[in-house]
Parts: sequence; C-alpha cells; structure tokens
Amino acid sequence: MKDFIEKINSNYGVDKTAAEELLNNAEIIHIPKHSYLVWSMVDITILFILFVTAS
Amino acid sequence: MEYGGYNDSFYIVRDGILRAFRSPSDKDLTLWFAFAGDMVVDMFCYFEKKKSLIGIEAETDVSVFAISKTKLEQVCNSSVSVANTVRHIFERHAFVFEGNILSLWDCDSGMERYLSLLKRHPELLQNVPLKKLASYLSVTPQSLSRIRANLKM
Repeated sequence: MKDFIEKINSNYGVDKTAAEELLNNAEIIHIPKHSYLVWSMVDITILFILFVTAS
Repeated sequence: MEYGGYNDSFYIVRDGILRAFRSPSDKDLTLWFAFAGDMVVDMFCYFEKKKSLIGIEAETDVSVFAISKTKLEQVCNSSVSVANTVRHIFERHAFVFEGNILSLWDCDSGMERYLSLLKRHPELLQNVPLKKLASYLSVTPQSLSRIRANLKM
C-alpha cells in the first residue's frame, strides 16, 4: 500500500495520509483483460439487439 | 461492478492498463490510456449525470480502487483533507490530460508522436494492439507499421 500511495503522490502530488484515507474507503475490483469498466450506449444497444434477435 | 450506460464511480488504477474509446460506425477511436496510480472517472456520468459516451476497456488484467460517487461525497464531507486531495486529483488529472494531448499535437509527424508515446509509456507497446495505438496517435495501422519498420532499420 505504501508504494502505491507513493505512486499516487508522484502522479498527483497529493497528501499521502489523505490519499491513504481515500483508498481505505474504496474497494478493490478486478477487471479481466478485454472486459469493460464502462460500456458505451453503442455497446449496450448492440447487446440489446443481439438479445432481442436471439430470443 | 456496475455495467451499463451509467457509471459515476471514482476509480484509481491499482495495476494494469485501461483504455477509453469511442466506436462511431465501424471505427474504434482511442481517447486515453490509464496506468497504475491514475484516476479514472467517466466525466459525463460523474459531473453531468448523463449516460456514458465512451467505453472503458481493460487492455490487460486490471485491478482498481473503486468508490461510488455517493460514498466519495460522504467521505469528502467528513474529511477536509480527503476533499482537498480529491479536488487536487481532479485538477491535476485535467492538467495531465491536456498535457498529453498537447504532447501529441506538438509532434509534426506520426513518427514523432509514436516516439513521444514510446518515451512516456513503453509498456503500451507490449500490451496494446497496433490498431488501438494507431487510433490514439491519429495514424492508420498501416502507417504505424511502416513507422515501426523504419525504426527497426
């Protein structure tokens, strides 16, 4: 964690204690390669069409 | 993890590479890449409460620190130092984002843009397909192949 706080500090120059407090309130999420964090409306529309077509 | 056209969470990349893109018609346009220690927020969702206009994809296996906007606001309301830190991260993020665009625009050729990217983020070359790098550099995949071939000579 300390190394990661240093990384954030080098990127953004933030207060390390506050950055640690921020991260302590976050959860860690794993995203497999080629998966989406945010899907665009175009993606969702295509999926919806595929779903309707399949059913 | 919420999937859908709306995601107003605040993320910091812990490990790996994320890519923001847009896919009008059959194109795939790369907007930005995010690496370990970088903040990731879908700005339209976060600030405007609008549906996302971009997709954000993991180019490698990725882990992120995630905090919902609601929880982030609660934490910021209870801690001035965290609120200042989040504000500072947003400000610095905007500055770096603009700097990245300018560093690409300041290059006169695709070769210069490629070398500039190579210098800043060499890890992209091992992890991101040529087509996606090309769209970020505003060159065709064929041009990028030629650039890479010329550099090897």
